[in-house]
Amino acid sequence: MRTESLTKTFGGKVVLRDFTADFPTGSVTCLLGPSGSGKTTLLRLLLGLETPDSGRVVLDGDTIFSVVFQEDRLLPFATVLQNITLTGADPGTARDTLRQLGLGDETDSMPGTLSGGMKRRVALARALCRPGYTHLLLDEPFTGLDDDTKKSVLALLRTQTQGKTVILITHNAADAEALGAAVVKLS
Amino acid sequence: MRMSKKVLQTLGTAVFWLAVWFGAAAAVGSEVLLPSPTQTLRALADLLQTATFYKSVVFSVLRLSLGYVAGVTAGVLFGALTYRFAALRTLFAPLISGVKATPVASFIILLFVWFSNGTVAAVTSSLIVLPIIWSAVFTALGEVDGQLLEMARVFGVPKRRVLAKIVVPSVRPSFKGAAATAMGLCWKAGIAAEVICSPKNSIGAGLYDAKIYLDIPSLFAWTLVVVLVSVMLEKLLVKLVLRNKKGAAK
Repeated sequence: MRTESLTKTFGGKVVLRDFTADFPTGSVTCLLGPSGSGKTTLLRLLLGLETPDSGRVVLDGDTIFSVVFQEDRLLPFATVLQNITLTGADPGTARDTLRQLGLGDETDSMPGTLSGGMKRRVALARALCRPGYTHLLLDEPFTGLDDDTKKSVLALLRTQTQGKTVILITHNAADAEALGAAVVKLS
Repeated sequence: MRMSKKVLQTLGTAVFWLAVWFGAAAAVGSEVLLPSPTQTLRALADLLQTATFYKSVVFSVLRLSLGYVAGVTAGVLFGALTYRFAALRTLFAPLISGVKATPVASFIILLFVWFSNGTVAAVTSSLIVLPIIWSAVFTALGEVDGQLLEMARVFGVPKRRVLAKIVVPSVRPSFKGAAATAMGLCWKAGIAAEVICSPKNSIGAGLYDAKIYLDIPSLFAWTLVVVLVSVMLEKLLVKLVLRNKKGAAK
């Protein structure tokens, strides 16, 4: 997957200018930059949720995206497990992933009863359980996680995303280092 | 303890208003102008001994329920279609506004010209229900969380599942409120239509006859029946159809 001279403006303000990058299959890339540098816009362009003003996104033929959005985007009227199986995930795999993320007892909980960090992990579990995904896009996935939980989540990401193309959006360089990611800086 | 306090409050309120009714009836001193609760209950007891009473209640409930179901079905369809297709929205907006603004009495009289007197009450009920449900569904569809729909799109969730798991649960709270409100209005308008059109075997005809013969205790008794059946239907609707599913949102 690669981007060629992507430019995107909102209301006359240039959010992303002439952005070119290559994301080789199976690589882990970290998009690093301060708030407002266009990281989330780039993710939305990659997902096809925004149309670039100029330039283009070139995808591999068999690309299947999985994503952790900047917001958790959990269905408030469905249980934790139902939120994950919504995407076609196998319930057994979902339960197993939730257990690995420390949420084994929360499968039947409603999102409204969970803390911010727990909701974030449910969003992560949903992304990791999507059947057959080839590309994983993570937009600030560690928000609200304490240090210990973050460490175990990073460990899980390293093992579960082997062979997948991972793009991590963060403003914390240590996260990129922990995942062994190539860093692309946006300013 | 809390429960018994509630029961006592309800009983106290009932006793207070019964006393007001007794007092007012005694002060007026004429059952033609204001029958007492005892005279009303005696008239109700007389009604309960006739087969016509039961036929009237059953047929009125069936007639108005049919109108309610038709109105709800049409309201949901119109709400969904006008939300989805802007052209339909433009086309039907004046019609919906017209139905909302037209007085119920005008409807009833107009429908009486076009339909048989047995059908008018059902059609009137459905026309009262339709804009309420339409408006609730249309507004609720516009308020479905766009971020959830976007998430479903990225994750490749099939459209049918998006409808069942995101759209319907999002619309359900507004729909429930509107459906309960519509039930009360449907019943009131339907009975009004029955009074004007006096179809055979109807509560409305019972009310009309009581008025014609100045049998005011019977008029009060029929009115009591209307109120009781309305409350029962609303409770039944909430219990059977509109209640929260087990495991649904807490």
